[in-house]
Amino acid sequence: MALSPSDVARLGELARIDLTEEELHHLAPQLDVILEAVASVTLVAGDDIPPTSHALPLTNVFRDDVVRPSLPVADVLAAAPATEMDRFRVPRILEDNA
Amino acid sequence: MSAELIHRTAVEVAAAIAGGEVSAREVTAAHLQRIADVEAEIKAFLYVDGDRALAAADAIDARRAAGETLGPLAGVPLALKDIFTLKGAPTTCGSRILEGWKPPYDSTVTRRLKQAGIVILGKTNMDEFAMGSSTENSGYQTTHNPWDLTKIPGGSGGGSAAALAAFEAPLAIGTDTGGSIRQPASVTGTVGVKPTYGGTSRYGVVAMASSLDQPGPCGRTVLDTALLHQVIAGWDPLDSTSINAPVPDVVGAARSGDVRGMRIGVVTELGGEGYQPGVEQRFHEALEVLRGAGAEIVEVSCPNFTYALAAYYLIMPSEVSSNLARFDAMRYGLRVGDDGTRSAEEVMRLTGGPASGPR
Repeated sequence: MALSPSDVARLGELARIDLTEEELHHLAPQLDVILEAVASVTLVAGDDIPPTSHALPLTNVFRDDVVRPSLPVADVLAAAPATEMDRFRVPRILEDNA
Repeated sequence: MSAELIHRTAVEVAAAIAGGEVSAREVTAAHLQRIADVEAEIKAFLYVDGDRALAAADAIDARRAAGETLGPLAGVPLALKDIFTLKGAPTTCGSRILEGWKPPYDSTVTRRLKQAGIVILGKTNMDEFAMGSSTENSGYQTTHNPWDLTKIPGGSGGGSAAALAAFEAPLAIGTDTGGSIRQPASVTGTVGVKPTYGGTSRYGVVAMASSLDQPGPCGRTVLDTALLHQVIAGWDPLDSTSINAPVPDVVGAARSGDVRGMRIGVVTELGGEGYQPGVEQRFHEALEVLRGAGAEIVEVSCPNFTYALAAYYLIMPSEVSSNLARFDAMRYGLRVGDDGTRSAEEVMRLTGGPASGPR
């Protein structure tokens, strides 16, 4: 399977990354290598092999729901690009006419 | 005096401070002077905070003066990879998208270093978000190998390894996902270990591929590196994949060096093509040294290792694409073009383009 530059452009749109024509041609064969890796692993990862989520025998652990001190709001927001009413202010994500 | 101080091991430095031969301030000042002398050529550090380091050293000297028994690495300077949060100091992960971001908290590794009295000199250069093996892919600068400035220091932790090899620091910390501690250690003639997954805490480490990332110790000797591991390793309730078990006695093992009766496996599938002749020769010489010291060398076949690299190229980019989605210009660092009229999508595109990749 070979990815075309237009496939890469579509991936770029999904990732919100603008790519130049030159970058599209540069990245397409690199992403092909990843697809070849997927195909290669598929050769050994048969249906008879149970999926592994983790290398260690760990299970989820719950702690008691106890209120603990958290970071001061001013510290957390000190490096935010923009703030409003003690919150991260972000650009609109929905169109007005929605 | 200061030239001689920077060539000592961490163990020797700590003993000299504990014994009153030198002060922690003198040790830190000697390394800051070394950094000032060689950084123009090495470019190992993205950020050096001499005032912060000297204040930490003064605190160690004060504790010693007060009669306190200090830890085995108290007062020893260290170079911290720029992937760890250090409260109030720039933490960029080698990316311009985090330029100017100062985290409001310490990583668990950072906190344990401070508790051990280790003096953090600054943050070291790395490939952007730890993606790379040469430290040429930093958004800020290219680090050079102290042995030959025309060569790479390896990566992604080339800054930490170069700082050690250039005697800018006797200890350093790295992270290893697919070789980012071990490969730079190899090409700079230093020591570095990727601990067993879950052995060190990832809390406060900028995530690359979460199921593979591990912080680890770097030094110029095995014993120094083992002592540093002892400081940073161990269970941390803030990392859900942390192993809740005692840390193995790596310091005792490094001190004794006794390998008699050990069976050491050499994986068949990891040999063969792709090595420079000298490298493979050294590897076999090392096996002979171990055999001579009383270890048993056995060949082991791991047939699925053939697929390891393919699996890595599947797991790593999948996790990277998920982890790096948080650098969307909303919560950290740079945000470009947010004029009140543009949508979040447009702002993400405008920020991501100029802020990622080399300057």
